[in-house]
This record gives sequence, C-alpha cells and structure tokens, in this order.
Amino acid sequence: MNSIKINNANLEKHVKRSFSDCVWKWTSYAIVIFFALICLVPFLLVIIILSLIPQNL
Amino acid sequence: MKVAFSKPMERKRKQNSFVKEMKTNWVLYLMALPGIAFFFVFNYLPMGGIIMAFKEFNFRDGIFGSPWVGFSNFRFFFRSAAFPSVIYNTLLLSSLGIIIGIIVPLYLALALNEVHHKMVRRVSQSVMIFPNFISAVAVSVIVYNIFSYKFGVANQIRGRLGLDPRDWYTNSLEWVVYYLIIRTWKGAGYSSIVYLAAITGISPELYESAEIDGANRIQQIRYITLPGIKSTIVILFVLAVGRIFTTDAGFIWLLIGDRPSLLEYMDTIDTYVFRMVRGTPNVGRTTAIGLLQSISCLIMVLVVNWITRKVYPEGAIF
Repeated sequence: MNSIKINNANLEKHVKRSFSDCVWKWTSYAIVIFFALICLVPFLLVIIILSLIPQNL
Repeated sequence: MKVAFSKPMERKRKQNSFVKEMKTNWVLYLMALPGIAFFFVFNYLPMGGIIMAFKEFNFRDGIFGSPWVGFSNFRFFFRSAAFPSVIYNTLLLSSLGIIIGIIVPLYLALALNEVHHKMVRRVSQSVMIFPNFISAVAVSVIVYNIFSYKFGVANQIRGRLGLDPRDWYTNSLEWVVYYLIIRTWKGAGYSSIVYLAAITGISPELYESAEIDGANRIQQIRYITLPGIKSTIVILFVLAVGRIFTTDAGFIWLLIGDRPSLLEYMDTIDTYVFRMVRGTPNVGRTTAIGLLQSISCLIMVLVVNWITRKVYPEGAIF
C-alpha cells in the first residue's frame, strides 16, 4: 500500500513552512488593510472637518 | 532561393505590397487613425516650436520673425548658478521616485495577491485607488492643513503633547521625504494594478507543483512570481527612466509654494522653468531647457533599453 511517509525531518520542515506561510499571509493582510486605511485619511479628515463646523454657520 | 529585382521593379513590388496591406487591413488602420491624428496634432506638430530654442523670441515678430541667437539660450542655462543644483535635485527626486515607485506597488501587489478574503480584497483594492483621483490641488490643501504653523494638525498634536509648535516649512531635505511619501500615497495603489494583472497571468499550475515540491509562500514568490513578472517590472523601469529628467513642477510648487527656504533640494528643472516663466518670461530660454530635457530623456531611454536588450532581452521595449 502506498502511503505518504512523514519522518521527523519532513514533519519539522512542514511545521516551519506552515508557520512562515501563516506569518506571510497575516503580514499581507496587515499591509493591505494599513495602506487602505492610509488612503482613506483625507476622506476621514473631510468628515471630521465637516462634523466640526458649527451647525448654525 | 532569393530572387533579385531591379530597382524600379523592387519599388513597384513594395508599392503593391503596401496597397495590398492597406486593402487587407483597412479596418484596423481606420481604427488606428484617431490615435495617429492625436499624436500628430499634440506631439508632432508642436515640435515645430523647438525652433524657438535657437531664437530670441518676441511676441511682436513671432516665431519666424524673431532673430536667431544660435546656442546662447542653452549657454545661459549651463552657465546659470542654479544649473548644478537643479540637475542634482531633479535626478535625486526622480531616481528615488522610480525606486520607491517600483518597490511599493510591487510589494502591495504581492500582498494583495495573498489576500483571499473576497470582501477585504475588493474593498482595499478600491480604496487604494482613491488617492489617484484626488487632484494635486486638493492634496496640497490637505498637506497644508497638516503642516500649517497656525492651524495644522501636526502642530495641534504637538500642542496637546506639551511641545512647542514647529515651522515645518523650513527644512528642504525633509520635504524630499514628504514629497516621496505623498507621491507614493497618491500613486502606489493605482500602479499596483499593473503588477497584480501580471501576477494573475502566471499559471496556477506552477504554484501547485511548487507546493507539492515543498516550497513555502516566500519561496513561491521568489522563484515563480518575481521571475514571472520580471519583464513587466523591467519594461516599467525603462519607461520610468525615460522620465528621469522630468518632475511634476505643478505638484511640487503646490506643495512648497513660494518658499525660498525649501528650494535647496526641491528646485528641479521644471520648477526652475516655472519660476523663469513667472518672473520675466523668456520663451527662448525655457524652450531650450525643455529641449535639453527631452534629449536627455531620449538618450537615457536608448541607453537603458540597450543595456536591457543585452542583459534581459524580454524586457527591452524596442
């Protein structure tokens, strides 16, 4: 019967790979969301400025 | 076997093949016509104005009536005190802009490619493109509202922290950094689309086989993604180098305004021309500088393209 043999060395490699993949994945998410938020700054500023203008003006 | 034709026969054969080509693909040529007309009217016809670079232009005599002055307009620029600093600043801003303008969008595209959550991907991609559509004037107003001495957000924050307000418009080198950050903020999202499109063109089978071979994501990026988009990166680099002697004078001026303290590193060829035009307009001199810029850019493109053709032929433009 053919089966996938995972020895200790392979297992270690597999665990390491999964960890680095995970780090890279979440770093990518963080970078994308961070940059998207930075791109939103002027729009947020406009909203803040508009909200600060007195209503009776 | 090559058939030898006499000269008149050769000419007739060429004419026939041209007519045949036009008859066969006339629809395609008709489609290309508006584009050809656009480039002819806006890019080739104005080239006649180059003549002004060799004349002491005055409005009374017009382009053809103004007296010839040879290369004196060029000599004026080479001998002006601002020449070395203007060239240095242009190259500094442009080369840093090219490097950052390639690295940041590329990194963003790689990161976006990793985001598999549909909504996060779509929303963030759309939001990243927004700044590209904000006009330079609006961006400069935002920047002024951040750095203004009296009303700026930066000084308000300093005040809240118990620090004295700071005049942000004094250090020229600082503004090189601000300029690059603002430019990157404005254009990186939009530029990343090109790289993302190139990345999506890579066959997914390559990634699958790499995964089976035990490659992690970083290795997949290093050995599949980056080589896969290498030609796109190189072409965009060559095109960017073609603009190395030009900067966005309008944007720079909108950012720094008429502040002589910031000119040390922010005065580029284009802002220099802009200041000349605003002062005592000398059309001949400004045309000469513009012509020099164009020739320098052309030489740069030819040299970089020649090097690319030797090193990496797939990335060469022509």
